[in-house]
Amino acid sequence: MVNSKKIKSLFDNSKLDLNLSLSSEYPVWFQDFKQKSLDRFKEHNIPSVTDNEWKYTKIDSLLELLFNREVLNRIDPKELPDKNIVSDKDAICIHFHNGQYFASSDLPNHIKIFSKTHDKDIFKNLFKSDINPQRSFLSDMNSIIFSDTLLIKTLQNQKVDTEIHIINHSHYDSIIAPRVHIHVAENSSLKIFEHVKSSTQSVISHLMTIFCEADSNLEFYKLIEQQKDTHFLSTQTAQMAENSKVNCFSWDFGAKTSTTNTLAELDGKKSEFHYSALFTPSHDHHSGNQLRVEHNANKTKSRIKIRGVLNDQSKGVFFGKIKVNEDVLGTSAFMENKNLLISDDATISTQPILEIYNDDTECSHSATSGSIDEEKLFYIQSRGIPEIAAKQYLIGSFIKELINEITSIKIKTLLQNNFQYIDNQS
Amino acid sequence: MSIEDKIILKIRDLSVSTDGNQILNGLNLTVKKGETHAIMGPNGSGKSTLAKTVAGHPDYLITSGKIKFLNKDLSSMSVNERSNLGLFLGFQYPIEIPGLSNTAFLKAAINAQRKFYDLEDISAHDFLLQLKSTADQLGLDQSFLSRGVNEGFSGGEKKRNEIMQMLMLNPKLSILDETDSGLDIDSMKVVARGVNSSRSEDSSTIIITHYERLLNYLVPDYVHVFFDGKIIKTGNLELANELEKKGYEWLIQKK
Ligand SMILES: Nc1ncnc2c1ncn2[C@@H]1O[C@H](COP(=O)(O)OP(=O)(O)O)[C@@H](O)[C@H]1O
Ligand SMILES: [Mg+2]
Repeated sequence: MVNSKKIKSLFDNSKLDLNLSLSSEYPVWFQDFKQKSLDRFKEHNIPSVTDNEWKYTKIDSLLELLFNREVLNRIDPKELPDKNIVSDKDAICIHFHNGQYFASSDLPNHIKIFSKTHDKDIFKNLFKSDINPQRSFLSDMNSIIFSDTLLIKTLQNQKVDTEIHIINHSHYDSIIAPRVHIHVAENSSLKIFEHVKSSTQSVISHLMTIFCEADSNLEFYKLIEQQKDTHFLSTQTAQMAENSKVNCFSWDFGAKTSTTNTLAELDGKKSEFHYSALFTPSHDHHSGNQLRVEHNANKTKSRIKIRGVLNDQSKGVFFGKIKVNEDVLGTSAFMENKNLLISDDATISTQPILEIYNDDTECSHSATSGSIDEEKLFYIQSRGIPEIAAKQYLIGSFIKELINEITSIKIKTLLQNNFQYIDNQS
Repeated sequence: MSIEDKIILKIRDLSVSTDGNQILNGLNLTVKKGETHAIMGPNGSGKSTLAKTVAGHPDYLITSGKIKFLNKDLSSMSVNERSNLGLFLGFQYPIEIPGLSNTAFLKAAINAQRKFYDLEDISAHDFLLQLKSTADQLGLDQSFLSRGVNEGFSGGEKKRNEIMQMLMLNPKLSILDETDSGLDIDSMKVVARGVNSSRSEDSSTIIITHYERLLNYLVPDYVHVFFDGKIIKTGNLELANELEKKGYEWLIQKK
């Protein structure tokens, strides 16, 4: 690695006080965890753009925002949103503002929030430093910054039909680290929607872990709406036991830096991981998607569909790797990345990789990139529709396949409203 | 009414090139309100080039001459404005757009036209009523309406779909580029009936075709023979009959 300077070197000159001496409400083990995370974080190398994960990102600007300040967040009570925002009666809504729990519907037993809970020890296992198998720059960064945590943990056989909506707001110049742990117990199911709304100049370091026990089922949707000078850094992992199934959809609109790092470990036989992601950066934004799927048990299945729509001078990255281990039989793996470049100045770098060590595998992968089809554009325009709208229809038709696969009507409607040219006839 | 008001399309001395090749060479054509013109001619003579140039396809460059539609110069007009003003091109090869439903597409097209004339969006009710009756008229099953535009349609279905769009948009000038090619007799009759139903004193049609068959149903006022980027002969239905029997050779040689 070319740039091997350590984070430590930045801390020396930094005025930043991470305020690790937390109030006495917090148990000793938690303070320990924070301290250990900080020690480890300092030992990481400063990220390098030659690294896939950081390709095209604006690291200097990120580091400056991170270290060139005295405190992480100034909370100004005047800026707090209205508590009455919890309005959706068909869903359980949980709002976090600047990384801290702010308001929610009445919370059922399977949802716990770290700052609210008296019995904080139920979180203890989650903060063992090695819980996240990606012990990376990203996860350690989240660990030192985060101030609240959401734990969603079902009971055995508990089918939760009510959708859980997590809304993360941030405001100007904040550094926040949302942290969500999802534990889907044996033969139980959950539906979760997370909406991240960032504000100018903020850094969001997001961490999510998913743990699925046998025969469990999780549907997860994520909408990341960002301001142009936000840095959004996300790491998410899914560990899956026998017969469990995860269906994930995310839509990222890009930011100064937007990077999502996903690791799925299919550890139990017949487990299934479906992951669809849309990224639609514009201006000079960036959107990076790193994904690793490990097939560690027999008859596991992965379905990865990633689509990018890139406008203006934006830059997109897809780096996906599917790994099938040597002693694993009957794997089915599919990975597809399609990109639509709607501007001559947009750039995409795509790299789907298969690492297959067992022949008993059915797999395919593909990556394509193209621009708007001029003949289609002419055809639509020739029926009286202006060029801008015609392009939007073509973009809509490009992303529609992924939107159509969303089973939650509510979330589908919400996304369709976000983008008026997705025609809602199926 | 002055003579100018009766003219829908006036093409003067039109030369067009694409990819550096000259395709149209000094073409003249005048179409008046209520008239039906047929254009026949060998493959590659530039018929589709004419149609696409009038519609504003960006690949075709006008090197000289003028096209006036409803007494307005078309050269600076966008593709969609031409349509909004009442020009319709029935494509020789209709384009497939998976992921955009026929219904949504048609509705957007109609509303774009209405917006151009400062009208409010069509009501969902009126739209569906009109759509259903037009589809019925053309023997297009309801299931086609919710499918992607032309997606997986057979050749004949695509052509009927073009006529459906034409009937819904109610244009002043329709240029139908080989809409009858590849159609069986029944489909052709359906298309011919569709075209006939749209004819009026105020609207005109240009039919590009290889076959006299369709023309026997439509009875054009003029039949033009197109060769090497211009019209080399003009006559009536009898000329079409003659071409059907003798081909184009005799005309080209005579020239
Ligand atoms: N987009 C294009 N690029 C290059 N050549 C073209 C293009 N369109 C048409 N041509 C050429 O122009 C000539 C006329 O084509 P066309 O107008 O399609 O003829 P017709 O419709 O009479 O069969 C042909 O030689 C064709 O190859
Ligand atoms: Mg042609």
